[in-house]
Amino acid sequence: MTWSRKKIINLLIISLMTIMTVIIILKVSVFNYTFNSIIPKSGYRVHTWMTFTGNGDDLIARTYLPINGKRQTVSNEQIVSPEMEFRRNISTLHSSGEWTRYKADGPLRVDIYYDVRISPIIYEIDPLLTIEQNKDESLDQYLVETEFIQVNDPFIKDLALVLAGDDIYLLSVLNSFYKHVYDMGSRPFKGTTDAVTAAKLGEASCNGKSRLFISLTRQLGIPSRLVGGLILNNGSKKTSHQWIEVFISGHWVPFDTLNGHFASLPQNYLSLYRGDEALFRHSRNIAFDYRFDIRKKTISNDRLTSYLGERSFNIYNIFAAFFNINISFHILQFLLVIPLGVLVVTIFRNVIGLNTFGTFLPALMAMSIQSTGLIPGLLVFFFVIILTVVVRYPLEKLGLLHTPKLAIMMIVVIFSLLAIALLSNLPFLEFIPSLNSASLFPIAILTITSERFALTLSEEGTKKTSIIMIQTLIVMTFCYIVISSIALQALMISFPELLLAVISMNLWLGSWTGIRIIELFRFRSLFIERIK
Amino acid sequence: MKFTHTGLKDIIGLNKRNLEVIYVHNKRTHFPIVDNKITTKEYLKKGDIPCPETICVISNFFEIEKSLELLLSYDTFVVKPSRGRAGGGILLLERVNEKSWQTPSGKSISEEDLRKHFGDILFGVYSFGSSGDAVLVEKRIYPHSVFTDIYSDGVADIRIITFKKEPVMAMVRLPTDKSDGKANLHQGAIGIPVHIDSGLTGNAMIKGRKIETHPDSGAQLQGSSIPFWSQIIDMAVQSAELIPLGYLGIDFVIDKNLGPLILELNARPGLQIQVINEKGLAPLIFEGNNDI
Repeated sequence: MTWSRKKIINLLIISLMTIMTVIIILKVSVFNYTFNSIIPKSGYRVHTWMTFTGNGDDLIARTYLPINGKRQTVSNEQIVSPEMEFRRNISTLHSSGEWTRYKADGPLRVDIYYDVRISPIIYEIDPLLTIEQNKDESLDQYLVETEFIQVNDPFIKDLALVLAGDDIYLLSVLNSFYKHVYDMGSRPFKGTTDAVTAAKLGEASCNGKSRLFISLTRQLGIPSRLVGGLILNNGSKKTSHQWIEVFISGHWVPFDTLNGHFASLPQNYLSLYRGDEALFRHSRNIAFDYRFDIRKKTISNDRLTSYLGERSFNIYNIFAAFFNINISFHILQFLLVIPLGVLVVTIFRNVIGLNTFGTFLPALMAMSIQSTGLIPGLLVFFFVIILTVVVRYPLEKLGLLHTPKLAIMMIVVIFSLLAIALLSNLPFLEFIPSLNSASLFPIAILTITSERFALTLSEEGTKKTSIIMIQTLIVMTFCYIVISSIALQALMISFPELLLAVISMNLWLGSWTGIRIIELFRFRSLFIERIK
Repeated sequence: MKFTHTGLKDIIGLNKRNLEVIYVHNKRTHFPIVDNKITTKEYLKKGDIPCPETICVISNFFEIEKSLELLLSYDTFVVKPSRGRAGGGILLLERVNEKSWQTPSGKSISEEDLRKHFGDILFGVYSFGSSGDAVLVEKRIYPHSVFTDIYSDGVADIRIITFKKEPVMAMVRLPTDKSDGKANLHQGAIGIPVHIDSGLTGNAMIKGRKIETHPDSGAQLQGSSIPFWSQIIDMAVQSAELIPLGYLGIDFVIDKNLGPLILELNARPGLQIQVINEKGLAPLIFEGNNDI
């Protein structure tokens, strides 16, 4: 490469990168773009299911549905209960869903899905804060005695005296109560335990401990309440959880005396209701069963579009023009990360030195499995490859000319794929990944892959072709990871000028003459001497 | 184990080869001259440079029958796709009876098989997706004893790399059972470096590993010299002058009766020759300054 050409390329790279940096700095400092509002956060997808069997009478079931709060954002909610009437009740404290079926007979099912992002929180309580009498009438309900929170029971009164004495400082009182209840033994959740029982037994489950704590704090006139919800971890569970909130200086501060959180909560505590309630309520004798299936996932910030729309110097308004011709935001977001996927291919070919079918086929393959996901997508490609080999064998024996032979193979592959798409809708074959959404493009790509595979088989033989196929699948996997990253999609749509960096990288790679990593291995005898 | 730092600098990898050698010295418009064996032979003929004798050329389907008839009078011949690469589609046939032949590995080929093979070649199966190809049928080569004494099957060849009309590196490629009689290093043939000035051979290698005897015949592989070497070098220089490509790979065979013949030329010769010669190409191509 002559000097002038290299200089021009370097100049181009510097200019593009400078323009990009300027725009980004402008957006962040002047036009108020913050990464925190753009980047998706890790959250959870919760699937709750309830099953019942009707006995001929009316059947009603209720459970609490999460609502947005200071610490939690709920999105993507789906309620699937085709055979029941659904009604939502909303109050300031919580929201519940009620499902009804009149004269219910036979099995019924409700599925509830939602995504939720929760922020952890830690409160610092000023040690000099004193306990003050409550003057707010709306908080009176959080001081009363109830059936299970026996505030005025002599045992509770004595315990409070022993633990807190004449202490007037809120923090130290809370500390003593907390320590006492936390140090008590734990019992697994089994029915309702009231405060007095918990205190006398010296051990309790989460609801017993929480009630005991609250009866102590209410004894001293500190407004406190029960919170019910779920601790979210990957997996399946049936146990919900209860903890406490204490009203301090205008905030409801959380405490968990079972798992050990003092004035704080981690990022996986989902609040569902407030007050001494039951998570599920339902008619009797209906063989009620339920479960929570929880999965960690990255959740895109769904306020992103409006956030961008409010900012200056964004191309959101240009996007509006696309919306008018039915190209959705989602598709635009996807299109903007494709250059990244293509860059992945370039790096794998020119820097690492892998060899693939077709230059950008791996990127196209990655795009075509967006709706099915990675593992099912890989399975589909494996299936197509095996199908290609199987179909090719008898055709080879027939000794047909090349192009008509390929044509027959293509017809068989296409129709097999269509058959799979149909089959995947049958109930017992749900595990077959479905190709239904945007089906034509994936089928086209799968067909092309099959053709290239068959062609290379004829030209290079089985071993070489398999090696190239494996390399193609590896590159496809990395492309997929990049293209489907919600974080990258959010970044690219907020800062489309990042494409200038992608172009710059390609300019740089286009003039890079270094040794490819695979070549380092291939030529190793040239620069490594073994001392015998 | 120690690193020889100079070694790494001297190696030309694919990126460097493509960008600084091929882009600069091999214009793409000239590639078809060497990619198409029939065209190559026309060029070589102009310079009176010896190559295997052509029996016939098939460019269209309607020529197949006529060619089959012509081939009735030949007991042995080689069928090649004109635009084939890495030996794909090459068929060496010996007549068994009037309507059938067999390959060196004993596989029998009927007239029908041969017709289909011609069809495949014409369709472009072996020419990597280009829109069709032609069939080249040549007289068979009988390799010189310097090769057959070591291994009797297949045809060994000599690859010489020229740069700006000057030979810079050379190697012999010797077939093995594993390479199925083909002189293809990636398929298991033996690579033997040849000193460009003297024609003397160096340490043989199979897939990067040094060996002293042929794995199938057990014959010694060291200390020979290539016969007709100065003639081979001359032919290489002359070919490089005839073909407008600055960086060439020239493949020779030595026929026991006809002497050295040029088999084919390559506009993108592979880089494995550096491993065989235990030497990078960079100092030979980029004089002094490696950062051109």
